[in-house]
Amino acid sequence: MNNIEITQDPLAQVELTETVGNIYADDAKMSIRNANVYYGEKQAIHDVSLDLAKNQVTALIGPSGCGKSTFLRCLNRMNDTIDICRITGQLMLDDEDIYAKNLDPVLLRARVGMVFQKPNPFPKSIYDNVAYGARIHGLTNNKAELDEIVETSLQKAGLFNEVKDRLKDPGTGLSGGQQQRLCIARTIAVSPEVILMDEPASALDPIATAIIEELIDELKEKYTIAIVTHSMQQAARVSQHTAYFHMGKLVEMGKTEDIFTHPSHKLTENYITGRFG
Amino acid sequence: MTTKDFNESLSGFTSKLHLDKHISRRFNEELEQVRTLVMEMGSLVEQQVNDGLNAVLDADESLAIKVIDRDQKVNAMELEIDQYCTQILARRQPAASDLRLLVSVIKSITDLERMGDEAVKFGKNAIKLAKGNFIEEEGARPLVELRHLGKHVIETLRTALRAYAQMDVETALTIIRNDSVIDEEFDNISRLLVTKMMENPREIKNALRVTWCARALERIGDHTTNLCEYIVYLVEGKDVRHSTLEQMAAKMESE
Repeated sequence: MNNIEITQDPLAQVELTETVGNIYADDAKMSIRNANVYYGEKQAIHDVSLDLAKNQVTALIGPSGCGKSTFLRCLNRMNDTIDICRITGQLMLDDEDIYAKNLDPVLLRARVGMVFQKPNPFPKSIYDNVAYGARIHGLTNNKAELDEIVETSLQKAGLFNEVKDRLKDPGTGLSGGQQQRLCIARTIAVSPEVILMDEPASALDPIATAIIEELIDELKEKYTIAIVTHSMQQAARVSQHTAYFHMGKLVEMGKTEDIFTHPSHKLTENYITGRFG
Repeated sequence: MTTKDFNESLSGFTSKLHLDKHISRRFNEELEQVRTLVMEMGSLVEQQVNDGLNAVLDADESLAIKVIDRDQKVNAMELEIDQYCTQILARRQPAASDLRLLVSVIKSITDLERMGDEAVKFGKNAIKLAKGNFIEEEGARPLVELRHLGKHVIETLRTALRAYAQMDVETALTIIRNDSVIDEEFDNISRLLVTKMMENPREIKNALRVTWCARALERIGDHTTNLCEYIVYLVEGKDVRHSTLEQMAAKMESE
């Protein structure tokens, strides 16, 4: 029993009927209903419904391969780039169907930005990294406005003071934590409404992680945030709502304080307490 | 209840909380250790209350001294368990039932330690009572009542500790509901002793000592109720402290 020998997944024996807890938000920025995602024949997401509460942080947690990243990527149509990926269900941003035929995914991604696990600054200057989105979306008319956007974005990302004297230096020359904040600044620069974060701190040291977490807390004043994380403690620290995914299904969703003190579902309990079955 | 009895009833604790199911074996062992320590402390306190009361009832000075000395052990256990729990909190960042276990343990040992203090009060009063002859003369009747209350309180404590070991919410709820019986018995003894004091003012001092012992028993009853509330919190995640019986029933009904 105590040997680490998890050949079969004992959690899989628990029959899942429907999500427990509360998937609804009083003020929902995004509403997803009965989302199913298929990679070819294989179904990765089964009938997931949930709301992302406006100006709050929703954490998506679950074991590897549970579908939480797949689900996150559906929210700004990142999965469109995968040919065999097929999505059904209703995914709404405010009152717009984000999978509507006439909706331009590029514009959607400006409204629903994304930050990835590994910092991925463009091989350009710090300034150009942040200015890039604003330029291609034509958000500004002149240099002064662009300067303004770059500065405020870097400030919101808590990076401005550290880089203000070397905006022309390459973004890739920054430390890992700074690069991640640069990517956040780049996301913010196009004035998104929702920010999706896929393990934004998992490649960072504890101090850089704490800075990112603090930043997330500040960003939620302006943006709606969904974060996928492998760190339960991080989910507990930064989020107001937590959704637990297991084998492509949404097992439980609720207020973070409830999920981490008395979860309703056995699977959630086992996962967050580090138990196996 | 002896330590051996506890160990026999511990299976409920482990199985209901799945304490042996963590991926980290060290974590299993640590929680197991916390549980064992609390149960040890529980049986020590139970013995203290039992011996303290007997020291009063039998006017046994040497037993009283023993109880007073042994309180150091109870205090030391509180510190030890506190420290152990703090370390687990720092190192493991427990969640859900593990978190509730540690929170309830940290709170439970405070109540156990206070019960130990009440047992010391028995000891101190027993020494003073043993030096007079109140017990043989005026005190006979109140002492019968005190013995009766004591038996009830100790039995309740024993049941509560067993419920703790077995994570038995039903029993815990029953004890919480029945706390008023102990309060009533305490009122009866007080009334009786007040009558004795009026009849024989020279014995007021000794009558007060017996009152304090009865009061200590009543307090132990309250601490036992607290323990039971922590059992409910630990198992169900529901906080039934400071609730009326109706509110408690409603909380237990709700999801």
